[in-house]
Amino acid sequence: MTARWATATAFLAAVAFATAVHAQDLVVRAGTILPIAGDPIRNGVLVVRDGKVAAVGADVAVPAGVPVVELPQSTIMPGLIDANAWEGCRGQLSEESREVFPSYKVARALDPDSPQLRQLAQRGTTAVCLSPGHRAVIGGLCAVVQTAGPTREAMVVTDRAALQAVVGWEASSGNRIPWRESPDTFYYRRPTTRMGVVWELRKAFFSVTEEGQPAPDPADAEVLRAVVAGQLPLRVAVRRMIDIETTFRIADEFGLHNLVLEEAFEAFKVADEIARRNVPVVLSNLFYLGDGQPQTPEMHLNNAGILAKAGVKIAFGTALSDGRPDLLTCAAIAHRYGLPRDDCLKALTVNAAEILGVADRIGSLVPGKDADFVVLSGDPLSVTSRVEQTYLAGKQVYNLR
Amino acid sequence: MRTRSIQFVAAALLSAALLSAALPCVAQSRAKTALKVGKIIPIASPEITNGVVLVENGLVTALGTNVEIPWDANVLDLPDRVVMPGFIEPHTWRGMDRPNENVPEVPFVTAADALEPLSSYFEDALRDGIVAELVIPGNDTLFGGTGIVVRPYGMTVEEMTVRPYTGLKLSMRRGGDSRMGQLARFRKYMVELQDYQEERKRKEAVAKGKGEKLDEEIDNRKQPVIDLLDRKLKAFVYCETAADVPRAIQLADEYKFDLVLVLGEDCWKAAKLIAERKLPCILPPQLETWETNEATHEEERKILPKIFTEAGAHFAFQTDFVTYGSRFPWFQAAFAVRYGMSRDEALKAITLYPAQLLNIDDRFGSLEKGKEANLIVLTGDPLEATSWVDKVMLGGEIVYERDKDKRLKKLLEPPKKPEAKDEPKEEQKSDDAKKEEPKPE
Repeated sequence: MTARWATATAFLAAVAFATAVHAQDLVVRAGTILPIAGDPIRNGVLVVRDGKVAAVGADVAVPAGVPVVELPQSTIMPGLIDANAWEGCRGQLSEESREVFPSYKVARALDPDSPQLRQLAQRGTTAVCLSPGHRAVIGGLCAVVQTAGPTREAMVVTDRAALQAVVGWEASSGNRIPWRESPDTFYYRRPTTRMGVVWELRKAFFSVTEEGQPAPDPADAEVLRAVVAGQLPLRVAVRRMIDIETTFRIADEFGLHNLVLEEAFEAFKVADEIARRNVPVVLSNLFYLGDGQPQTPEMHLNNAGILAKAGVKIAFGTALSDGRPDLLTCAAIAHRYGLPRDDCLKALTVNAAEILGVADRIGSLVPGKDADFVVLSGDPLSVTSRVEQTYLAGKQVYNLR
Repeated sequence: MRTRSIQFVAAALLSAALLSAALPCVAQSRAKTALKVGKIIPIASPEITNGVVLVENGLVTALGTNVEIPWDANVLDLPDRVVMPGFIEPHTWRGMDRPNENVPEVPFVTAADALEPLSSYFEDALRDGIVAELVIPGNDTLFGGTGIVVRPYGMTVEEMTVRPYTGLKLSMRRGGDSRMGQLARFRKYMVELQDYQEERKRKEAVAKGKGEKLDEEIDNRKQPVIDLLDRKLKAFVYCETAADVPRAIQLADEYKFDLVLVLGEDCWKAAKLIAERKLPCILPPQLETWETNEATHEEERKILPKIFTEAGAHFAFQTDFVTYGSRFPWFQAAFAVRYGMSRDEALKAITLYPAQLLNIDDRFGSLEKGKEANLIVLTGDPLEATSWVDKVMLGGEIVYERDKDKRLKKLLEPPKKPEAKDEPKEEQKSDDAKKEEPKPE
């Protein structure tokens, strides 16, 4: 009689406890955990509560009644962050009707069903920075989005990660000089040269910093003012060294302190100056093989390594790259050419999160951050290691098997 | 007196010619070299730890742990290095000025005529450990022309040549035509060729009747296709889609020629067929492809080496700059190992198998006693991204050394800034020079 009562009570208690456990609560035991913030943990335990990291370490109290995933042969690291992607949206990214469109939000073009985002999740990428492309001088606001999620709103980490601009020849590439024919498209406009691009950029910042300038659209003005005040990073795509120098000149002119450089193939030439200014760099293509154009930047295999050595914070992006490389391959190749191991791992995770301004939520496995992580079959920088599982907020979004 | 000196010169020339005929090997390869290394990966036999590879007269004469090193051998003591046969590239058009002719039926052109020995591609290939490669016209032309197997070393095509006249390129890619049109064009060419050969036979019979030999050379524009049908050449058939594979097989059966399939990314769907027919094939440089299910929009990643291995097909890897890694043979192998291919098989698919495809496996593709010493010395395991090609040996001669690779050094080390403080005198000079310069008015 008493035994039966005891069983019933235990059963009820178990039911009560089970209801207290959240759907996304999880305990993962892995052969190696690379929390990035902190040393690697051998035979570590990761406790996930309510989609967040609750605890991580070798000696961690494991809550009862929570499903346990045993991965004794695997390595766990934070979800990879692609700091520059042009995928995940339907249709064209750049709004080409205007050269300066600060309030355009690329997050509004996000397609949560995008096949590319699902591909990225399969490659261990849990968050990407979407940029509005390089066709306009000021393209709009970059967004940080997760590669999977229940709703579009849930996937958007921030729709205001940075203001995208271009310094260089690219933004002018489609524009034409009206020559005899009567202009019949809006492509007959400035800029058609490098100096024209800079003029447009300067004009945009003049409009919010100088008295008596024609006032821009209030929404645009708000974004530009946030950049001038340093609240919003200005993310500038620069290919050649002269573009980097021009960017710094404009930054000095308008007192812009919150800068991020993107692409930056020739950044190795001015690594010390970039480091001195504490400007992070997103390398969205490790090598640019050139197209024979005079604009072709000089290649350096160890651009990443030189920047890191000079003290520049770097991250990787996959936009612009042929064949859509996965981030782990980027890191392995950068490592081959001289980027130290720790810098590689940070570039994939915490550095990318910091550059994108989302380090409070993602980028490392520490208590309180989102439980976004990848399960790898071996060392992340070994080409023979594969992504076995991807978790977003403690929920499995990809399983190789 | 004069005739005597001429006689002397003639005798000297003759003896020199005889001597060079008797010693076909180049001077450097007469030396004996012993490579004492941490690991030997011979490919054809199990790996050897702490072994010696002995190279004499350009050939591997011994390898193993108990090799007696001759007293006069040049010993390279490299305890932290790995030695393996150099990589073989079974199919590329890099190194040519342009890959394709602009008309569909050009079997008579040859890649040898378009080869650019000094192109940076060959320099890179050697640096990446490739010791032989088939350079063959591109994938856009129905009868594309013939290829040539070269080593990426030398100033002239002749110096580079390993095996001239290798492989005829055919393409199933529909260049503007429909697939029907493409095949009709192929058959039309073959029918015309058969007519030509029959006509020739008839003429030969007529000549024979008269007791003469036919005084008419074979049309050399047709020669490669005739050689294909005589099985003197293999057809390297490019299949863009899986549907092209059975058609290529059908044509090979119908006209009886040897087939090597050069596959596109879609061809994983034909893996079973290729395995059943035991056809040699070359995977595309991009080893993974995505397939979107049209109804469910489900994204499925297709890992080509995995699919072909599971199907039991026999394949070789090729390289191209489509992704960061795909330019390196070792990366292709490592990628395959990532998805379950055995390490041994993956290494064979960048060495022995492509050598067999190109019929150069008597000289290339593995380290064996009696085989030519075409090998690479690596700084570490071949499948690790951190390993570098340290030395390349071609026919017993070391032709590449990383220490002496100035271009690589320049690409890896930061450029040094001119430091003005160290040389104040020079700065002074240049300032003076500027002052002296007359200003333009």
